[in-house]
Amino acid sequence: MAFNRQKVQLPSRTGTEITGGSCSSGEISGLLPDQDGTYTDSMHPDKSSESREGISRRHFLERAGVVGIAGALVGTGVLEGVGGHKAGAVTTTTSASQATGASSKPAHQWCMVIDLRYCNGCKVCTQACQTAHYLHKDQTWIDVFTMKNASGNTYYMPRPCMMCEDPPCVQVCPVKANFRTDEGLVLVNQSRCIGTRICMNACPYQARYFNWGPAKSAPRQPFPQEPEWPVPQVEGTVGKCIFCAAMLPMGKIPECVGNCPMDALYMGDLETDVAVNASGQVIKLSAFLANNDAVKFKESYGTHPRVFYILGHDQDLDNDEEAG
Amino acid sequence: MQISNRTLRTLATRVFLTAGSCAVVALILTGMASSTAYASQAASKPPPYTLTLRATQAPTSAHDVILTATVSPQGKPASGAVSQLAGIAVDFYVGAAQFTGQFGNAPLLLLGKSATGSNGVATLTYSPTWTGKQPLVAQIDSASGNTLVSSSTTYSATAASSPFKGTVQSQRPDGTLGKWAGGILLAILGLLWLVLFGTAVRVNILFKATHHGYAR
Amino acid sequence: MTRKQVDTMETGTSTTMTSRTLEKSIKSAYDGVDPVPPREDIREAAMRPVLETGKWWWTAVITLGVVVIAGIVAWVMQLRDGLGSAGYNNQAFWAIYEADLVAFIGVTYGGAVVSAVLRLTKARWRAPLTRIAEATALVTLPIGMMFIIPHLGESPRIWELVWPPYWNLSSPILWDFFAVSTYLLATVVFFYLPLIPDLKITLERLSAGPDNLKTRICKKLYAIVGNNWIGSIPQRRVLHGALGLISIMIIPMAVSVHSVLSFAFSSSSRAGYLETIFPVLFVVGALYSGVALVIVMAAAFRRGYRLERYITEKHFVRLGFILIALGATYLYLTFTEYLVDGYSGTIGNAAWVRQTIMGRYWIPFWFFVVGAGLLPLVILAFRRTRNVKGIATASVIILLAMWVKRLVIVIPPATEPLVKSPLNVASANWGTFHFTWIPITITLAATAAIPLLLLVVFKFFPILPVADMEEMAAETEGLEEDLSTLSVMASTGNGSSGNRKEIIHANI
Repeated sequence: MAFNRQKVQLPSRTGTEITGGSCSSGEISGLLPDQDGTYTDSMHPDKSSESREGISRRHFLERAGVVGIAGALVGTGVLEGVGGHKAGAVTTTTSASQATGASSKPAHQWCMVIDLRYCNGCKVCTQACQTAHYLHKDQTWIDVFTMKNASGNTYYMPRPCMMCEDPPCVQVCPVKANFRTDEGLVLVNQSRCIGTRICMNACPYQARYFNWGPAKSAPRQPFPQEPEWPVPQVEGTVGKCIFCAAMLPMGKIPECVGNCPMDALYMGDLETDVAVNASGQVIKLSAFLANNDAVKFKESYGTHPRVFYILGHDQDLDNDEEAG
Repeated sequence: MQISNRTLRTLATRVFLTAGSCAVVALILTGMASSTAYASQAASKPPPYTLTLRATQAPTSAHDVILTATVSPQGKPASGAVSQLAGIAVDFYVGAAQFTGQFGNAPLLLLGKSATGSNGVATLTYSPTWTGKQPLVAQIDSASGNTLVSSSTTYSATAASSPFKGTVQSQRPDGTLGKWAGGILLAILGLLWLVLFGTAVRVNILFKATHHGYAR
Repeated sequence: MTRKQVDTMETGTSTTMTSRTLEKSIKSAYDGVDPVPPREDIREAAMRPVLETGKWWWTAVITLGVVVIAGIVAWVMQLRDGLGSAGYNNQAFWAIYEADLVAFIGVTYGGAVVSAVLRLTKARWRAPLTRIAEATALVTLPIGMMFIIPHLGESPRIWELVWPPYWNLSSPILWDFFAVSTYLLATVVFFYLPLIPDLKITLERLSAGPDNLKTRICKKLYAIVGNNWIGSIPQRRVLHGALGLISIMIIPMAVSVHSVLSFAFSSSSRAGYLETIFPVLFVVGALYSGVALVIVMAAAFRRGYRLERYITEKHFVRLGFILIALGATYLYLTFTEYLVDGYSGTIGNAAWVRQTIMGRYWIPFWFFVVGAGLLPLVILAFRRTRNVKGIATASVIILLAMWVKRLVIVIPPATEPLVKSPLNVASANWGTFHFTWIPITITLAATAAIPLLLLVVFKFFPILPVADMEEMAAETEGLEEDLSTLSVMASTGNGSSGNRKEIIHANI
């Protein structure tokens, strides 16, 4: 069995200190990352309290609606009839992994890890994304923001779509053009979008970009124009980062991750608990996030993003809550 | 903190690159390496050990796998060699195929390290997070001063335990409304339309019914 | 025209349940009689727009029509070039069309206030204004709804909004659409019901006039409902009941339309849009601008059709007082919004408040404060300027300033960057809305469409609610006679008023 030699990267980033020194047999296991550590709620940066149990947006409307109206009228089951948007399912099954447990459980839960300690603001990710998806210059599906910390030094913050578990954009679309797949990808159906742009209003991350004019023409693509691969874009509709959804089943990591020269971006799979970067370094996701105190952008908004940020010294995602 | 990290990283990368290029040169010189050899240091002398990796289902747990790496001396064991087999650090890896789509090309994920006992056996309990055929690799840690030797095997996991506990199911866009709220709101709307239309129509009917008395 | 006295009833022709119960009451005396005496002067004045077509009418219609056509051309250009040609970009993703939508749907509220509120409160002076107010609401609401079309990026797909399988019932926009559609239906019904008696009068007038294609078509159409009207007490009772019901319904409906419209903004996490005060602010703002539009339209048509005798300065002054109350409330609510957001001082809130008050949007903001807040109040406060001309001028300024305020509501929070970085805003690609000729032309066209459609509407329907005004006149006379009777009774210990007035007071 010949494994790709390049992919064996020793030491892994978390293991730097471990392998850097000489280890005696007794100490080795103690220095290892939490190998048996399960990806529990307590390891999630935002799950220290009962946030998951608390009233989420999803349940709020339900309760408010029913409490507010139930007394007035007996409802009809109209909703049942009109619902049923078929989520343009991204069914990804690779040879190495299949659905675990119940067959309804999806094989992957895609996420992204962004290590701000290594981002140098080169914007190669933005360019790679715009090249691959034939986007205009102002359609920065992954944008790199220049930030300033308290001591006045600049650092950089890439911002793809956060692929929220509770995405506000999905709730506000009047025609159900936004949806979330079972594998955790929030996508736009550009053949249905009517261009109200209320999703651009709802997104707390400004991660949505409209096609204000004719879309950039693209050569024939390997996929049809679909939510998983919206190339070319459709004029008058909203586009956004898709984590290169159509490429994932083929085992390709997104363009931004694969092209990051600083290895600052990782494509991750929460379900199988691994993440990989451009150099092929593989990390155990749960341990990596816990050991590096990963945070999410605007956690207080209750969107439960699936993009994790690793912050360096004196770096900050600059949430609105902080005085500035 | 940041600087030291970065320095270490650079250092490690350089070491790796050097080692890698050495290995490439060695491969070109010696032709194909053995199937178990994963990467070897400039192979001027044969490695003193061989490494065998076995993966067995743990008896206690449904999905745990026990990885057993056995270090044995190359060739004839010299007297007293047994004691030298103790304390060798072994790294265990699993190939993460979900990002390449190709089994043989999978980048490796470090599962953990374990040191051999006096019998030259190092074990590690591995809990697969995905099912199916997985490449597993054991390797003697180069940093501990031993020559790099590796061994690989495959294991078909039938059960897996994902540590992920987040929201999985996709949401219907109007799922926020629950079962009744939308229907009730639509019913109110329908009632309003009915009353508005009804009033207009009813007024006409009544006027028609009562206009007989007027003769011009 | 003569009125018949008591007629014998012929019963038994109609069979519906409702009418059968009614027929019992019809059998009583006077049921077939129109108790309200006709007022020839009112009828003549109300029918003036229908029968007269002056040179100025054609001039106005052609001028306004050209502007409307220019707007349609602009819209076609926008369809060709995309929404970007209207000055939008990814920062200013909502701007002028949303402001137009809010402003034009807002001005329909004049109809609801003047007509419904004053009808419910039995304010008699409202009568000459109601038709103009209701017609204004009737024409501005479709114009406001029309702004959905240029607002959408993919306007050909607008049918998806009425296709139930695509409905996402948790979307504020969808409920906006539902609410506005329902309100449109209510406005149509509210315009139609008081029109039924007047259709009868129009029929009579048209029969007396020249016979051409237009009158022939109109006569046919009006006969369908108009001929059923005899003005008897049961009919008047039915009409009053229905109008009362619709008046009661249309007020919460109007309130809900603009508050649901505000949900499109306030049901987001964006600082400056996430405002619990928005529903109230929007509703009061709509009432304010709506009354202003009614004043402007009433002043214009009063002059155009010489209705000074019926729509007097007193009407304008009274509407002016309503304007003062609403304007002061609106100014205060705006102050509250800015105070609370500025006071809380979180990054997002402080940023947009600063941008609005003293940042790059200070000119439109302070234009609003002066134009819709201070200037009209000053004009209305002094007796010297509190005349038709002054009040109409104040209303025009209010309409303009309120439209600007809607821009100030929509644009600054939208263009406020959500990823807070000092270098973010300064960077050259961080845009705001840039006015181009396309949305301005479309907005002007919509503005021109209001008087244009009104001119056309009053070509077909009487401009004054004749039946209503005659009733009011009769009531007022009756009241005066009653008062004189009371004084007579006080002196003689005996007295009676005429049958007719008794009937009116008992039934209306």
